[in-house]
Amino acid sequence: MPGGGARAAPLRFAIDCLAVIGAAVPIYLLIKQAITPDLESFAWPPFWLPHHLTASNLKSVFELAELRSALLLSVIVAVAAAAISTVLGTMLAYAMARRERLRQTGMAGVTIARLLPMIAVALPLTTVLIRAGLYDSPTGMGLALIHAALAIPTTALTTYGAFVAIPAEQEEAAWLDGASPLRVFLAIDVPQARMAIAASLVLSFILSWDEFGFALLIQVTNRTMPPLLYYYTVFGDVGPASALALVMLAPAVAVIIALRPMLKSGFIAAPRH
Amino acid sequence: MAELEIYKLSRRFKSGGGVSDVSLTIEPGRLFVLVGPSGCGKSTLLRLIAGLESPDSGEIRFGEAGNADRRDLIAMVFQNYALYPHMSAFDNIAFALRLRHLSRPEIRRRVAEAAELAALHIDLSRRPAELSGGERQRVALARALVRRPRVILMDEPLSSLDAPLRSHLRIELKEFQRRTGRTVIYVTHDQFEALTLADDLAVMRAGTVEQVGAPDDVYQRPANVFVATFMGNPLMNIVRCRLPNASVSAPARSSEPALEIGGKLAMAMPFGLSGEVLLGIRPEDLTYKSSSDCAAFEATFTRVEFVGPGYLAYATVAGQELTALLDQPIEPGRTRWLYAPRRALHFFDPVSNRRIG
Repeated sequence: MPGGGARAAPLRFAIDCLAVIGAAVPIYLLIKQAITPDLESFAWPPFWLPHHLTASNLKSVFELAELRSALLLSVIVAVAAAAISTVLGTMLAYAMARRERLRQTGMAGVTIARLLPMIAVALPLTTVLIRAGLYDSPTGMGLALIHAALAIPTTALTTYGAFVAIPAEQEEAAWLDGASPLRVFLAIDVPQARMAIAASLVLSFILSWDEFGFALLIQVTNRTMPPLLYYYTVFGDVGPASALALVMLAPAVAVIIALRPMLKSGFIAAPRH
Repeated sequence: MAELEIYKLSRRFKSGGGVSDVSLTIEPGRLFVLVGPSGCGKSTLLRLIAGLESPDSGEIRFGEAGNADRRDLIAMVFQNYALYPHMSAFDNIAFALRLRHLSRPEIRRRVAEAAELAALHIDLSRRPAELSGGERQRVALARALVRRPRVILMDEPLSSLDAPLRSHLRIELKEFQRRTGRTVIYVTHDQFEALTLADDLAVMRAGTVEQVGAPDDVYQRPANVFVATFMGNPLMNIVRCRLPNASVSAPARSSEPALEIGGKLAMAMPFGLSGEVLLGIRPEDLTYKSSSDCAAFEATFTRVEFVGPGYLAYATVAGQELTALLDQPIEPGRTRWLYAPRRALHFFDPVSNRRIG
């Protein structure tokens, strides 16, 4: 049994509690700042509980003209990036799992891609996008492509293990049953790797949703949510910025909750007792 | 017409292994077993027949079927059955039919027919993980059968099971083959499985076929020392010995460690064998009882093991090791005469290792 016997249980419980508190406190403060006047956020000593509630922060955010377009663009970019990077990452992972020679080069490529300082490739990438007519595109496709590229190592590594775990004999059996290679992949491998594929969709969606640097650089006028929040934080007040951050948090939480049944047994599987 | 003719088939791997220059003829409706130690190329040969590997040279001809798609002629049962774990038993069996776009009623009918032939009487909506080892085997058999192949290939389907289930399923496999009348090519490393299952068997070593024949024939007349020692358990004894001249009935003597072969053996020998030969004797053929036409060995016992059906006694005879399966125990250190009848003696050429009598 992973993690040892009954003796480890109290310790594990304590660690779990710390992890939950660590994750929950910033979100709590964010909510608190979003629904209280600015003065409370800067009070010293700080209040842990809100004293005065106000809807003005949220109201000002929802009245913001750019919110709808930024939210929509962020969703489009994140969905496109998740779809592209999961399709390509899944194919790369499958190739690495099935071809010995590709495994090493693939792994090396994926690792190097993760090690590259992104800001160093930003300039050449930007010129490529300008030439391709995808710079600051109203559909966000240029940013989506960059996010997809950024996420491919993540999606490939997330699905790689699932493909390795499928015995080659199952594919051979399906081939002998008369299936084409593509059919084998779609009918035998994809269904068995669906948990990992769902996990990679979520991870790449969040990665894109959250990505700031390229979004700031590329979507100069057609902004997505992160740059919008950045401008709001820099030039605006804490209260409305927190409210905007809450709006940004919502879809990410929604995606995770929606895919939770799959994630449960897939990527973030808790040890079974 | 033969079901399958393999002609000078070769496939070598960089890492070693594979098959070289194998020719075999497999008759329809027979259970043909490929047996040999691991790495002998038996699985490669099966995969070549399946079309999962392509040969470097040589060909495989399917008798009457001619040039039909290989995948319509053969089906394969894998070592761990390779059932599709995310599909129900029904969907596993129906997979090939759905790929061929058969109608739903036709699929239902053929799945039921295959399940019946494979003696699969379970709720087919269950998944492989919910089935017992025996049920999984039957699902795999039904899946292989549902396409109505001419030849079913089986790659060590019993090797990952525990002993009682293995012997039960071995009998079931044999019955399945009789009932369906399909040609089955079966790969195993287990000589006992090969002997009990096969109508015909081919013993393989290092990528080549050493002997082809009926199981009793191969067991009783092994073509060479390798086949002699590979088939049968406990292992056949192989001892170097010097035979008397055919014309002389008295035992010959030699300075090097050799065996005396007594009695009238020299006269009973075919071809008038003489000189240095390798003598093979199965441990179960050695007894305390002498008869008119037998070889005699003066054996000094070193060790005795109780093996159930008898006592496996280890002895030295003229400096060479010999094991005998005896029905009574014997004290280590004692010396007694052991006898083997003429029909139980196998002679091999000491250079080529081939059978000479």
